[in-house]
Amino acid sequence: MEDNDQEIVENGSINPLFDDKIDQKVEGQPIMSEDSLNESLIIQSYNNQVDISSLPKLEKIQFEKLEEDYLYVGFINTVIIGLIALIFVAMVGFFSETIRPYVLFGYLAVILFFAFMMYAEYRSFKNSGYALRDEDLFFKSGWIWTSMIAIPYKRIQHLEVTQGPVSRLFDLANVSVYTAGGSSSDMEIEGIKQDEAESIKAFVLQKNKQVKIENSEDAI
Amino acid sequence: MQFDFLKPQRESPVVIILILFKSLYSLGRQFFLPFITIYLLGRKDNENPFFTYFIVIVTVISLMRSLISFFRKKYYVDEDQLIVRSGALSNKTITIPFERIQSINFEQNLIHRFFNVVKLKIDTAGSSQKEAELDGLQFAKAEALRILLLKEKDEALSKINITEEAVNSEIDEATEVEASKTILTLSTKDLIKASLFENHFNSLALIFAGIWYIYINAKEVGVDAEDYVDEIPIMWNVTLYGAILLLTLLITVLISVVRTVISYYNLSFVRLQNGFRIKKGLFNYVTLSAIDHKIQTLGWSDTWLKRKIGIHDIHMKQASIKQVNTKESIIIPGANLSHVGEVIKLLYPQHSIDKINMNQVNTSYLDRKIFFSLLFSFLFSLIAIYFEEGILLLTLIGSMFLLPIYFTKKFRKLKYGYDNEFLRLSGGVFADNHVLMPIYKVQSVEKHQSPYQRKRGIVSLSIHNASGTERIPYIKEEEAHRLMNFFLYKAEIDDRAWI
Repeated sequence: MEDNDQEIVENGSINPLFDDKIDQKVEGQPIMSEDSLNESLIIQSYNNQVDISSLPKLEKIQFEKLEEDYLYVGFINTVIIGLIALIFVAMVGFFSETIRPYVLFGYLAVILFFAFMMYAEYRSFKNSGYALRDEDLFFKSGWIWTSMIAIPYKRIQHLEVTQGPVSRLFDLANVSVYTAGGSSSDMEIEGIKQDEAESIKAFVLQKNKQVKIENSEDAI
Repeated sequence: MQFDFLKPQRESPVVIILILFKSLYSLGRQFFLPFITIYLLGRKDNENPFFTYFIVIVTVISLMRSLISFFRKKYYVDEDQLIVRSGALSNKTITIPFERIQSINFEQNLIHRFFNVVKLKIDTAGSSQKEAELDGLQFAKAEALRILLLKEKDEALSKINITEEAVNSEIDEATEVEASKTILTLSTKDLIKASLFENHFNSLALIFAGIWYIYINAKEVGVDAEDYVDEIPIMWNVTLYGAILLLTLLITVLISVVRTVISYYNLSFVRLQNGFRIKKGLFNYVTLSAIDHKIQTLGWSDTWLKRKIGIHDIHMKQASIKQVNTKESIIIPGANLSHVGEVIKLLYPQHSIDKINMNQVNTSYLDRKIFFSLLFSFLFSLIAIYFEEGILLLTLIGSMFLLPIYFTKKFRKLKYGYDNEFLRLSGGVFADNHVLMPIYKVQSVEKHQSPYQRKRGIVSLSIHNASGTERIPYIKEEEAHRLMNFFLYKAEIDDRAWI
């Protein structure tokens, strides 16, 4: 979280622009009674030319690493699934005469596959990270195919802190971020400390009061 | 007429009739299909009475369930929210705060129209399980409820104090229906024209898949079409195949025409004070409305044939939980370019799309597509050679030549551009697709990179809004970062109502 202060300063560079816009709105208030004028005023104040190179740069973001323990959570989950696969292969070998001679290959294939999965998890873990800026939230992940997604706090509809059974042992949690509409624009920050997850949740709620409404609604 | 919505009340008894019809319909469907397969194909080994009993019992149970839930379903307005209590055995309460209401749409099928009632659909976006349907409301009552909800919604909105603009639009939408202007109406002839020049290849493929399925099934039953084919002379064979192809094409076109006419019958597309309304339908009478600031993207498209006669489709996508739900997006088939221009002018008055510079995506997009199409054609050709499938091999070799042409055409048309307010995308191969999206409606931006792209410093960009995703594939990483920075900034700085 220490990096955050730096990010806020970074985002702060746009604040003059931001204030500018608010000023215009306040000035425009008396005239705003007329509908059409009001509309055109709002549009004008939004439609100032923006110098894109002066905007805060996402290239400069320092991503926070996920908790080291989360790697073990991933490993344990993979090993559990791998063991189930091994048992399945053993069962097939036990019941089927024809397959029995090839069972060793089956074991080998399963072990190799899950070893690769663990390696992929390790590499993906190394690449994963999240960042909170003044106005938006970033998450990046992936090893072979990488991706990075950014959601402005303003556009968040709903927030959830979830915990899997293995994660609970390590006191880790996931933060699920939901936006309006379909599910494709949703984000999940995985593998951070439970209390950190709660504080991220609180931070987003403070940034966007609308999220709170949504949350209390869901409690009913 | 005055209606008191504060008291918890049931939907009208017409719903019972609707439920009965629905059960009859599902029962009919359950029996009708097996009848066809059993008696037409002469398959009689499947006459298990338990199966019949099972269907009847299930239908009766679901009928009982529907009836119980009708008697238990009650709705009322409580201060600033609509509450719907329902559930046959369990208790389910849906609470919809007015400010969450996205749109209120009416639907009427034949039975609805006979009793002059409507089904009221209340859509919310964002939280799932928060949509409500009130069936069998008298038309006047439904209209009164709609106006009440929208008015209350305005008050709820002004309490939260979003923007004045949004509030005004809602009142206008609810009360000043007269202040509307018809943009276009489509006669049956227009609809037939529009659907005739639709892209029929997709439906043709579907029909062939269906024929293939029946062929396989018939084979299983013991009717082998190939037995008959051998008896027919070769020359006949060719004409037969030609005739089948032609007939299928005719049927496809006919289905498409009938479907379009039924669903868009008597379409009227009307400009309201601050939104659009579309009324359409032959059996199912549907009224959809879209308020300006809720429209996430405006698109227009054509097919190669449609362009020749100057017809375009207009799409307006609204925020929706079901992302690719066509019901939520307003589609107008058979508009011409001047209509498109008019809609753009009405929706985004201060905008001129011609000033946006359109950029091409990186050429590695084309390289990659051609590489993969050649690779897969080649691999499948090897398989075809191994199994000695001559016709398949010829098709694959043909595709080796055609796919690169296809992708070159696609690449040439794939363009994106943006100005201070809008993102514009265009694409298509034989068709032309255009999308216009206000940048401030961006919900999230996402970049993806494959190993190939990483080597060349290229990424693919996905821009999500409340109605779906727009994609810009294969652009330089620096350019992608510029776009992401800009889109995020625009979304964060803008306080206009966006959903």
